[in-house]
Amino acid sequence: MTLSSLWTQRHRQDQMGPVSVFGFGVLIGLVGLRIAAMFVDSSPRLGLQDEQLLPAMAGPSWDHLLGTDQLGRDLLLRMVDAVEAFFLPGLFACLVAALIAVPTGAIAGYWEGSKGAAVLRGLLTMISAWPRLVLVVVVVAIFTGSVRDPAAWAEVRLYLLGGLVGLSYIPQLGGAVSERVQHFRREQFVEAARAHGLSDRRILLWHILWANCRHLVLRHTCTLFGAFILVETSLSYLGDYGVPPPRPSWGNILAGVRHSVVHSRSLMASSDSWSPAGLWGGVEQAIQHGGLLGVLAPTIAIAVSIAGVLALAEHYARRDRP
Amino acid sequence: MGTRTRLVGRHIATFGGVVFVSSIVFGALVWWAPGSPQRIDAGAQLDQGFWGWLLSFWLGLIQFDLGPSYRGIPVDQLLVKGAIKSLPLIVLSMILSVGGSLLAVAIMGTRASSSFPLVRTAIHSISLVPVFLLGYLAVVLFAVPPDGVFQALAAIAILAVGDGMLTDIFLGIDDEVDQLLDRDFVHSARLRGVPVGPTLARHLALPLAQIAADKMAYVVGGVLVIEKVLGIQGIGWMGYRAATHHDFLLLLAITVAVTSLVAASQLGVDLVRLATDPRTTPNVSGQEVG
Repeated sequence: MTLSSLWTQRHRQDQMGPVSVFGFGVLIGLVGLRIAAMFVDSSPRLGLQDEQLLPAMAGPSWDHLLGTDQLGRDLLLRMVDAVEAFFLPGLFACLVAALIAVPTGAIAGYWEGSKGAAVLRGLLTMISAWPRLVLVVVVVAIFTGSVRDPAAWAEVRLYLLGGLVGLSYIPQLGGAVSERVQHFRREQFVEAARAHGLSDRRILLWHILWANCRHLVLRHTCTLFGAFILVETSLSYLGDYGVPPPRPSWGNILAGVRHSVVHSRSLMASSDSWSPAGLWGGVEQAIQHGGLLGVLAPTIAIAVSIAGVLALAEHYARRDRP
Repeated sequence: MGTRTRLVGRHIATFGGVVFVSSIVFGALVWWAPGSPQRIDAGAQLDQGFWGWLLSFWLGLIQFDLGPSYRGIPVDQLLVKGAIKSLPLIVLSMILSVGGSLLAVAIMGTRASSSFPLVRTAIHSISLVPVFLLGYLAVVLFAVPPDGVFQALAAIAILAVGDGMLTDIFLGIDDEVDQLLDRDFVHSARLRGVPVGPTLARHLALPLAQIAADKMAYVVGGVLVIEKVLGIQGIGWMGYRAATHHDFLLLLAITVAVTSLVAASQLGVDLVRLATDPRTTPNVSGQEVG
């Protein structure tokens, strides 16, 4: 194979397909929303006169593209502001997982058979038996459940959440890195590097981890970021352990409009609840009460964000293939 | 003692170690929690330290008498009551997800041979939606009644699909079938006109069990969410309530129970593999091969 054909083949591998474009598009969108969220204050009700207050559950208009929520706050602004709840804590989760799992996995894989590696493997096995959501709920409940002012502790709680989600992902990332390092430590180029007198640390850090594991780590951190969005929105929806109101999260926006939407739905909840007419009646009620966008906007935002970061993970999985 | 027995013993010891160390970790969290009622009660009335309290918890766990919860009801009774509601959800959702994925692969073929790209995309898209959102939509759109069969059926369907469960299991089975179809013995069986179905089923059983065991921790997390959303009073609902009410003894018991469940599912797969897979044979030094 000539050098030019090798270059062409590599260039073809680097070309982005629709999945990669979608993934990077969502990432750019999330970064843009995070920057926009710094300039947005979505709870301007305090200090306003009665006549300045917006009507609750208003439908969409030119002034308020997504309408208002159950307390008359602009839904679009709250949707943008809610990105703050998961963006930096999600990156913190990735950082925690990468900082612990990559060295742990690398040591367990490179010095396979040593006592230290056996202990690390035992730790990874133990953490993998802890269900992520159960771990998060238990620890957050224990350490922040007795806080008197949850809003003041929201930031701490989010980063605690990030740390725990990162911790719970260590077995997956650590296991993948360990497996990869185990595979490469027997390769000829590693033997050659050893024969040239390169230290184990240099071989491991540069020739194995950087050259052959970085796409694997990126792939797993993207998946972890998606998992964090899932955990944060789930807990914020359930209340108690996620983002406390009035601070917005896509999860608590959904929870906020739930009561009015369920109420409007319950008007139709008669014997024909499961029939198409009953279903459509519920949707119609929800539109009239302005709650449909309050349901649809966060639902779509959560699904698209998770799909986007998983598409990015798929992009790195493709780059990772030798 | 034979090497196979030693390997079985090693797997059981790993399971015991995971449960034991997990109970120490979560016990320590409960003990040193701010304002922990366990520490205050044990210190003031029983003059116990952390290890004494943990020892009495372990003894209670073995005797299945953990004492009263925050509400005065025995913890072991609450555990049984919750498990009766939650275990069927976990098992049936797993069966539905694995069975549905198998059926989908059987109908559509594997990724390499599939002519149903839209159906596959639809499966992935629905599965991307979080469990709480699916539960929310079930409540908002379909007005799932607060108690009864519909609620349990909705929970099973949502657990089988949401949080990427269906996609992960579907892709796992897809990969396994794809690899299996490419094996030499399958090619030769086809060339000889022998039906490959029974052979495939036999070789797929263990990978399927492994895929299901790997997803156990996720399903248990999903159970916590869906029981809270739909108001099913199972283990997840009780755990969430115990956390909110600082009923730390019940919380610790539930945490140890779900950790044991996840570890036991892995132990089950390991033992079945050891018993059935001829590739997993102990070598001279007692190391597992395969």
